[in-house]
This record gives sequence, structure tokens and C-alpha cells, in this order.
Amino acid sequence: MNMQIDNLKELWNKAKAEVPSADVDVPAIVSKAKSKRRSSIVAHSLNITILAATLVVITLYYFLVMRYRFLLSHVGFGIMFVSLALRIALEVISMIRAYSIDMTDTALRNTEQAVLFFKQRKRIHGLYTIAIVASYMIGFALMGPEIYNNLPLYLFAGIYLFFVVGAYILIVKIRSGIRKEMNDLEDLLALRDEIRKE
Amino acid sequence: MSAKLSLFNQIYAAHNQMVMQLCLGFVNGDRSKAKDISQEVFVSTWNSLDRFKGESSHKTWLYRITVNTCLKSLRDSKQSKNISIDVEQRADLLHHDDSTSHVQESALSALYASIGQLPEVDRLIIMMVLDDAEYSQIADVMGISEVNVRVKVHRIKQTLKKIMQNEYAD
Repeated sequence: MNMQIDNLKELWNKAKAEVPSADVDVPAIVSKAKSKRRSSIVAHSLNITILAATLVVITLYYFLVMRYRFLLSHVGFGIMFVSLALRIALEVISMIRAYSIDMTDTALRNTEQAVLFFKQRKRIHGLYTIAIVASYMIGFALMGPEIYNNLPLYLFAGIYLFFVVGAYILIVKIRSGIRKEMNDLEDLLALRDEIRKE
Repeated sequence: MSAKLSLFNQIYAAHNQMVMQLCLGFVNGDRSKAKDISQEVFVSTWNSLDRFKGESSHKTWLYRITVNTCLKSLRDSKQSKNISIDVEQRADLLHHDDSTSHVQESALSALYASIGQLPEVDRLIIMMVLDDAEYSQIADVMGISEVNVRVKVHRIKQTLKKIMQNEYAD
């Protein structure tokens, strides 16, 4: 096939008339757009809701059920509370950053917004998360002696076993999340350079 | 009918084929993927319609959404770096009506396939050029200077020419 570059525009325009329509049912698109926005908000809020529910449960337990007497327990609760509250704040900031990625912006700015989002995720999932998970575990451990005094051994052992298994699952999940987000970040940085390149 | 819906209908009717053609070129003629991306484009269009300030034309605005959605689809599907489909699939992207000559059909197939061999950003830029977009419009869509667009387009045309000569010169 012998084709000159100058003919491509003509060919492209002829092809446009023959391009199949996106075949989009407008009411269906509108409905999909609305439900996508809802499900996106739900998905982003889910993590925050779970963390907030945990915060409420441990607070209620602290004030209404356990009535701790050891200073160590109060310190432990304080550390857990602050750790969870910080984690929730980070998730909210991350959600706001995710919503600031504007699909109607220029390709370069859209990519830069996504780069900022993933850089922030990198920080959240990196040092911040390690520090938060570690302090949460320390806080829980500090409460151990008093919990041990107030609960039967099997229940105490069960709680701590559940805690260790939960922490392990959390760490594995975070690591896999970090790996995926780091790949996305690398792709975005390469894309940003590609857009800027002359 | 609400004003928003009426505007959406108007934008959709005027530009849906442009969006579909850009998506087709981006995914090397894979009609199913192109349709999915086109739908995402119009979902984003609906969700962003309230923020349209009229600072650019509807077409430029839709180019932006299409370009960003195509680039985002790369992150959503890692396969896009090596999008490749066979010749039979390439041919399938065309309507097989009687008015389309076999020669034109193969030429179009070759065009989509050649565009598909370009890097993703270059694909989008050359397709806007083929779509008669002004360099200033492309600069506004990509967020780079018009001079940079000119340099890129010159380079992309040379690359595309080489690809077409190497792959389809007979």
C-alpha cells in the first residue's frame, strides 16, 4: 500500500462518516453517570466509615464498658484514639485530592493532579501508615495487662490472636496496595514527561 | 427536558462520532474497547457538565475529556501498552457497506493499525490533527505550548510515515 501522509487527513474524514456510533443510549448514560458518582462516593466513604466505626466502638468500650484503672491503659487508649483519628484525617484528605482530579482539565494538568494524588498515597501508605499501625499496636499492647485482669484467659488470648492475624492481613493488604500505586505513579510520571517532551 | 439534558443531547449528537473515532484509533481499532472508553467519556461529560464555563468550545472541552479518559484507560488496563489486534479484527472496525471500496477499507485499516503503533500521547495528538483541530486547540487540550505541538506533530508525522512505509509498502 502506497500512502502519502498528506492523504491521511482525507482518509480520516471519510472514515468518520463510516465510524460506528458509540451507540450510546442517552438516558442510560445519564443513569450510569449518576450511579457511578454515587458508587464512587460510597467506595471512598466505606474505608472512612469502617475506621470511624472502629473509633466509636473503642471509645464506647473505653468509657462505658471497661472503666480502666491503670494509667498504662489510659495511655494505650489515647495512642489508639489519636492513631485512628489521624488515619481518618488522611483518608479524608486523600478523598478530597482524588475528587480534585478534573477530567475536563488539560492532559498535562490532569496527569499532574493524578501524580500529586499518587505521591500523597505513597506518603500515606508509606511512613505515615507504618507509624500509625505501629502506634495503634503499641496502644493496644499497653492496654493488655488490664484487659488480662478483666477477661478470662481464652477471651484474652482470642482477642490478641485476632489482633495479630488482623494486623498481618492489614500489612499484606497495604503492601499490595503500595505496589499497585507505585506502578501507577511510575506510569503517570512517564506519561507527564511524554506530554512535556518536545 | 432539563437544560442540562438538552445540552448533553446536543453535545452527544454533534460529537459522538468524533469521540468514537478517537477512541478507535487509540485502541488500535478494537471496537469493544473503543465503545467502553466512549461511554466513559460521555459519563464524565454528564458529570462535568455543570462545570462547563464556555471558556472553550464544546469540541475542545470534549477533546479534553476524551484524551484524559483514553490516558486513564491505560492505568485501568495495563494491556494498553501493547495493544495489538490481528488483521481480521482491524478490518472489523469498519462498516462493511457496499459503498466502501476494498482499497479504502484496507487503507483505513492500515491507518488505524499504524496510529496504534505510536506512543499513546502521539496517537492522540495525530488523531486531533487528522480531525482538523487547530494547533492552538491541541495545545489547549494537551496543556503544552503551540510551538511544542508543532514540533511534536512534525516528529509524529515522520514516525507515522516510516511506520506506514515499512509495514504497508508494496
